[in-house]
Amino acid sequence: MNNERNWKRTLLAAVDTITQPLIAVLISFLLGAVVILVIGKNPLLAYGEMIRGAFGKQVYLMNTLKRATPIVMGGLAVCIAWRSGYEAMGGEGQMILGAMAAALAGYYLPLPAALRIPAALIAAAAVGALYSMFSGWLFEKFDVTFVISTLMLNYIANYFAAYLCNYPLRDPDANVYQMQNAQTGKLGPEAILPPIVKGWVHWGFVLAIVAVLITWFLFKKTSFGFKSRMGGLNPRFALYGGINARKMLYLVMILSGVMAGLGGAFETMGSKSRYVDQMIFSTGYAWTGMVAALLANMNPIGTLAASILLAGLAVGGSTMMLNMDIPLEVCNIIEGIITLFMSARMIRIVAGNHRRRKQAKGGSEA
Amino acid sequence: MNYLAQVINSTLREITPILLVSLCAGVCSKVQVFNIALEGTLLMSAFFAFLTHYFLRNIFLSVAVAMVVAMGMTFIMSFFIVKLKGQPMIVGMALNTFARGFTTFLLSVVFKTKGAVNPSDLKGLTKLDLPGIRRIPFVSTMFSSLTVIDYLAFVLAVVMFIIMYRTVIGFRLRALGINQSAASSLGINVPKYQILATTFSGCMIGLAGCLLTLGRNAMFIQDISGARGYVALAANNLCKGHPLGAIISSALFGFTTALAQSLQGTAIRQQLLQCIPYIATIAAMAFYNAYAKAKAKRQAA
Repeated sequence: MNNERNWKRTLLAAVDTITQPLIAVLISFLLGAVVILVIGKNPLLAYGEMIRGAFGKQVYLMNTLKRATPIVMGGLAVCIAWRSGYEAMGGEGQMILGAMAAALAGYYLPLPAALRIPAALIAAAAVGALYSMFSGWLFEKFDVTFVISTLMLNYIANYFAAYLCNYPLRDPDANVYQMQNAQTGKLGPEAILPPIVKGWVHWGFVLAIVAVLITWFLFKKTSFGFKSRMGGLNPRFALYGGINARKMLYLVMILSGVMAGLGGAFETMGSKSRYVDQMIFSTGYAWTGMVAALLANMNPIGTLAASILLAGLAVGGSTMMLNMDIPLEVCNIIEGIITLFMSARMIRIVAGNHRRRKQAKGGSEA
Repeated sequence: MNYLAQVINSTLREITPILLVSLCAGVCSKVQVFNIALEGTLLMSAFFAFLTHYFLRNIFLSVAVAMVVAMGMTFIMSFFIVKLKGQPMIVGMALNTFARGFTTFLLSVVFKTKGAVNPSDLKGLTKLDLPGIRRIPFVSTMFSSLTVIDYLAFVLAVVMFIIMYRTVIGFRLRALGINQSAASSLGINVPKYQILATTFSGCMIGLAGCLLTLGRNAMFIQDISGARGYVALAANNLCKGHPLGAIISSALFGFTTALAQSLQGTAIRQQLLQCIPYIATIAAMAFYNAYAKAKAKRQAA
């Protein structure tokens, strides 16, 4: 009797977790189908083309995984910050500067070949962490809310990187007349992340999986998750419990910035082999990562799965665009609608944050 | 001297879209609906203003359509937040992603391009030529080629101040923002007020959208809103939702944008200049908060 109830409860909980993503995905694909119908194309064919283009062949699948790499890292950055109660959206800026740092370190640093990859990765992680810490500092010192500071910093990073690759650090070998976007110099082969096996995705994807496992471990198996959450939700209580909220804030920001910065580095070193102007901004990797983290309810492993699916949406979308002349942006529309219908579920994590934070504030004033 | 007048002129034209959007943000923040979908709403209304004007060649209709689109977007936003208890940040970002995808999608379907559409035969909003100042050299440059909506923005700021601070409705809206349960115990239907207030304030974003696409010449560029929605959010944060304060805070951002524009062609590269408004936003908020903190400390002591 008791056993049966437990079993039922587990099943209900499982259904509960999976229903909303399913409904959200279903609604968004239905609405996407309506949009495709309106422009006079067959949605079933289009979706078929999309799935084939994302997962149908080894080449396509590898493209999807390649695209998923920076998305997973952006998603992890969001997971770490949001789970700790800091609603920062600076992943994009950190990723841009990380990608730039990796491109510069790999190109300009006169290091022995074996040290080039680690040096570029460390540079990217450090730059991402510093930029992330800056928004943490603005929050801690001046109460500038994360939403505004990180959004502004994203634009600043993108313009700054555009300046760097357009003027002082422009590719010296570039033919000015043939290029669409400005870029930095091409990395040498010893600074590029090689494919795991020939024809497979590059090592960055493996490193991203390692990052997923580390994040999962941190939150599940160590006290870090609890401490950072306390620090974010109620600094005073955290202090009472012997947790330095200020230290936790910076630690969370550093970790989240490292993830985003490395995400940019993987894109530079695994895919583009240089920094190309707008390469992170126009693809929206960081935003897609955020959506992935939301779909997965801030679970690192779920974020990995959601990132691969969303990357597949974009990669398959470009096949659909080529073969059926349907604009790629259908994917953005679908992504937006999925997020919208997933938002209500987020009460559990984030509305809880707000409520507790508000209570904490009320308590401290009284 | 003429140069200064031109800078003031472009400042004025940069202020008004931000001012209109931050007025809407002000209402939203007063009724405790955190609206970050401003950016997407602005983009959508700007696009539909242009689209309507392109096909129907009717300026009034396009302004109306822009306002309706903006109200629709704001309604979806507040419905998801208030009724479905969606997390505001995520609802907003979802709508922004959607708007970016949807406008670019339509742009490539209708105009077969992903960059800029700039039909030369299409006129923008009528420029208002004030008869009194036409002869005065400095002032006439200052106020040249401003549209009705530009002037309306400042009028609306005053109107919003009167509505929010001098009428019963405004009092109720502010009351429910301060304490929802107290307001509902007085018989105010909180969700209804929240949704209605945000939706109607959304029409101001529609006006801002018209200014972007029809303010000078009629044109649309992909992502024409260019973070103005976010900047307006910051402007509203700075003036704590006060409509008249919004004039001052959006003037700050309008000025920095105009400054960046006027420095174009000098030794400083364009990409660095484009950073200025965003840096100014962060700096202004940091300075203001530091000032407020210091003031509070002084009062406590």
